[in-house]
Amino acid sequence: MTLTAGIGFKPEHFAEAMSAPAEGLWFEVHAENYMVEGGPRIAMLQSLRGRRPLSLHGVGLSLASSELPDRAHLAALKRLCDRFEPALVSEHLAWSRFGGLCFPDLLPFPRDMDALRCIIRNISIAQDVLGRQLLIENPSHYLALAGHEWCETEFLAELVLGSGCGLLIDVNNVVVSANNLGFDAADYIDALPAQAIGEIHIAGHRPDPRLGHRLLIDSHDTPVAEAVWRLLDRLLARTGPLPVLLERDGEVPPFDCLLAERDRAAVLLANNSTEEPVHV
Amino acid sequence: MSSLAAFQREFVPAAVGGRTPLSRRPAFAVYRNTSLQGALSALAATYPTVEQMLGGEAFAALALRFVRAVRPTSPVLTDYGEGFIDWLALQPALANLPYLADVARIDWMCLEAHRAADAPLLDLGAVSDASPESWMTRRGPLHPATRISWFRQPAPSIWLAARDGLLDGGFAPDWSAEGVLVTRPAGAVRVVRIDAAAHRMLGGLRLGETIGQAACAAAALYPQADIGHCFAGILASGAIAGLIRKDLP
Repeated sequence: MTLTAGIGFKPEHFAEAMSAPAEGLWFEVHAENYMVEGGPRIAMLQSLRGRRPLSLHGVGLSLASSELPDRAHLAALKRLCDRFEPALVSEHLAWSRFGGLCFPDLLPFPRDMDALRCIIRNISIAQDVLGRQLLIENPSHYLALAGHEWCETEFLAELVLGSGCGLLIDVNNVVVSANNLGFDAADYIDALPAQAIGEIHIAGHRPDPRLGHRLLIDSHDTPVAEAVWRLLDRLLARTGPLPVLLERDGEVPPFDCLLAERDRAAVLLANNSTEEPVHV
Repeated sequence: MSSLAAFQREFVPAAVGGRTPLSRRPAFAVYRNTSLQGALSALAATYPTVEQMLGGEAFAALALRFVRAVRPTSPVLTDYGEGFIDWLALQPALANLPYLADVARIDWMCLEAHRAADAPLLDLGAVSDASPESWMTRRGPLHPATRISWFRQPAPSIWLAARDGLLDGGFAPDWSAEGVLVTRPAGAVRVVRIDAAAHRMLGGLRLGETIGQAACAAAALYPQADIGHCFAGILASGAIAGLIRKDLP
C-alpha cells in the first residue's frame, strides 16, 4: 500500500479509524504511549495495525544529548518495532533527558561541532539497535540561542551524511520557528536536502497567550494554518509525494473533521505526483 | 566537559524553575510550562479518582507542588507518579482526607492492571471438571493484571462510590478495614471490594499455595466467612490465570 496522508491516532477514534475507507490512509502513534507490557492499549494498536500501516513516532530518546541513549528505552522501542513492523520510525532533533531527569518536552541546543558529533553518535546507536533507519524531525524553536555554527537545514544535512538517517520535516514547526526566530520559512524549505526526507508533518499552532503573535506555540490544538498548507505545497513540489501526517493532540475534533483535513493533504499529494510514489 | 553537556547543565536549572539568565527571557516560559504540563497531565490521567474527589483546580494545585518536588525520570509518562501516593499521605493540608492516599493507591493499581502483560484467563470449564480432591494439588497462579491490597480504612468503598458518582448523596461507609481486588477480564479493568477471607486466599495463591491450602487457611482465620462463596467470587473476577499441579513450576 502507498502511504498518502495519515492521521495521528487517538484511541477515542478507534472504531472510525478501523472502518475509514480512505485510500492510502495510515496512522502514527507516539511510541512512548505504547511502552506497556500488554493490555487493551496494545490490543487496540494491534487491531489497527492489522488494517492500516503504522508509524512509530518517538518523543523520549533524547538524541540531541551529550549522554548516550538510554538502553532500556531503546530496547522498549525495539520491542515495539518488532511487534508492529511500522512503515516509518521517527524521533526528534532535541533532548529531553539530562542527569537522571526527564523533561516531557523537546529542548533546544546550540548546533555546534560537539553537538553534531554527539547526535550522529546517538542516532547511529539507535539505528544499530533498531536495525533500521530513523527519520529525524526538526523541532519548534522559541528561543534564539547563541553558539550555532550551522543553520538548521545544513545541520540536518550533516546528520543525514554522518548517520544515514532520513528526515521528517514538520512544516508547522518551520512556520512556528520562522516566526519566533525571524527567518524566512520558504528559504528554509528550499534549503532542505529534499532526497533525505521520508515523511512530513502538518499541524496547527496558536499565538502565546501573553506575548501574542510574536511567539507562536506549536500547540497541535487547532486546524492547520493556511501558511502551513502553502509551505507544504512548496515542499511537495521539491520532494514529490511523501507520507504526510496530520497531527492533532489538543481540542481533538470528531474523526470526520480530521479526515476532511487529512483529505486536503491527500489532494495536494495527488497534485504533486509527478514522481514515483513511496511504496512500503 | 563537552559544550553540549555544558549547555544542558546550564539549561536544566532554568527548566525546573530556577532563576537564571536563560530563564529570564520571556520565551523560556514555553519550555518550563511544556515540561510541567506534560507531567501534570500524566498525573491527572493516572489519578482520575483523586482528581474527581478534590476537583480539578485543587488537584492541579496539589499536582503542581508534587511535580516541582519530584520530576519524571522516565520518558514513559505512565511510569511517572507512583511517589504521589506517599507524598499525598504526608501533606498536612489533606489531614481531613486521611483515606486519599489509599484512593490514589487504587488508581495506581488500576493503571498497573491496565498495562500488565497479557495471559490467558482461567477456563471456568476446567474448574467445573475438577474433583474436590484436586483442589489440594492445584495451584491457581494470579493473572499478571491482578492486584490485591488491604486498607485500614474503607478506601475501596470510597473509591467505588466516587466512580459511581455517589459521594455527594450523604455517602457514609462502615468505617472499617477493607480489601480491594483489581482484575482485567475481557480487556477492561474491574475493581471489587473484598473481605479479609478473600484477601487471605488471593494472597496465598499469589505466594504459590494450592487452592485447598489457601481456602483452609482463610477458613481457619475467618471461621464466619463463606469460603465457597468467596472462592466463587475470585473465580468470577478473572483474578486467576489457570490451574496447575503444585509440583509443576
